[in-house]
Amino acid sequence: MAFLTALVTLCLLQSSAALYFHIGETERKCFIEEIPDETMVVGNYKVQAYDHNVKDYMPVSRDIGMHVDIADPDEKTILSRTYAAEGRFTFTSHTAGEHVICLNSNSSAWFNSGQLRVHLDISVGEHAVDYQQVQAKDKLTELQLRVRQLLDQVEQITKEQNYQRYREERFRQTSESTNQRVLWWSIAQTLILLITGFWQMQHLKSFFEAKKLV
Amino acid sequence: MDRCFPYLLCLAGLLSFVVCSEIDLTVDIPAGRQECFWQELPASTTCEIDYQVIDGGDMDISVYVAGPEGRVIYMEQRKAENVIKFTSEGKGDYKICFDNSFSTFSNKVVFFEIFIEDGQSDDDDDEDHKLAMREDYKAMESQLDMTVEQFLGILDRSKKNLERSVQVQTLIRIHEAKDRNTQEANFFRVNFFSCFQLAVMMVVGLGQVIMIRSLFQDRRSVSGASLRART
Repeated sequence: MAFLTALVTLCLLQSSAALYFHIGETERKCFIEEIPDETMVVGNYKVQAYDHNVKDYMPVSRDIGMHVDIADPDEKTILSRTYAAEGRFTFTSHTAGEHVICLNSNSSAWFNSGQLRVHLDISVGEHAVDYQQVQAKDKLTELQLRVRQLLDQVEQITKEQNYQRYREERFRQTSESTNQRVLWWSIAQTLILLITGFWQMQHLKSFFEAKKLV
Repeated sequence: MDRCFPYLLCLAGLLSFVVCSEIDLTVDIPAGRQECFWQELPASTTCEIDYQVIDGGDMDISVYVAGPEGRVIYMEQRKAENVIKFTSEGKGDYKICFDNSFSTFSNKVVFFEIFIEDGQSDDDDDEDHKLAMREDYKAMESQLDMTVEQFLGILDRSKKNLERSVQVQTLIRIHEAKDRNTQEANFFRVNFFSCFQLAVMMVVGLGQVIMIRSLFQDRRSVSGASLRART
């Protein structure tokens, strides 16, 4: 029974094959996530440092942690914490838009003494939900869990669609504003050109008349 | 760009049937630098990477994909968006690098998605079969008006279709982000250059008048007639 549950939930969960990248000790890397509001985002990371003896990346022995900064679309910091070398960070968005997740190691080195390998996995929305926990808490059968997962997926899709409508409206406003401005700037430039030409001729005419050349 | 969009949609749809593993990230690549990402792939696995530049400069980026030994599998220079499909030969860490070193000023925002084909669809069918054999589920069949296997089949198909919807939504979101950034850059350029042009026009107009005045003011001793003859 438990084995079956594990099998089912394993397939329900998207297999989190994490990506890794190298970051210098004083370097900062940022990732952008464009998400609708009230969406949960979970990030899992693991840091490894290069060990010259083994000539490979091993888990960090020194006290290196990762400082995580998360900014919301209005550039206000919603999370700024230092975590251990391996950990996870979670946040729920309150405004829809582009959130920026920045990582940098809190190493006190003044220059890049080595490269750190960071494994990162960012899950958004219903991918971030731990269905094993949900099943244990609400005591659901496998069928109920599958239906619950479908319901969560549909809810996420609806939220994303609403956000898309809002974004399209903003895009349309910018387009229309640009369209109007192109017209008004052209008219303004033509008028100013005519006025300047007119003023130039008048000014020079009166100047030459004063000099008795005309 | 518009020609690529339906192609990308079809590809996303096709891939959703077998894909069980997907990673997507949006990165900001500074000017003159390259950013690399490694992903561990098992042997003989089909992997697909699609990337799009959504903001910055000329909206293009160079890409190369290298295998575990460092051999370059794929390379492309300065493209706005592309789909890379390859099959991994051996098990190992494959590297994908986005190269912005050709650009001196503009940083690029690149969205990329990695789809790794898993062979999990067969395991799903076995599981469904095991679930259908359970006694308490069989009792539900009268309520459901169909067999448990059929019901599980419906759930599976719904899940796959919803996953495809999510992928299409992601593509639409990325295209919209790219268009929005282009439009905002447009807005800024129209305002800035119009203002600049107006200022230059007025300065030139004033400059011309001052120049002509200064030409006539310096030669007070010369008579009007000779000036007229010369000009």
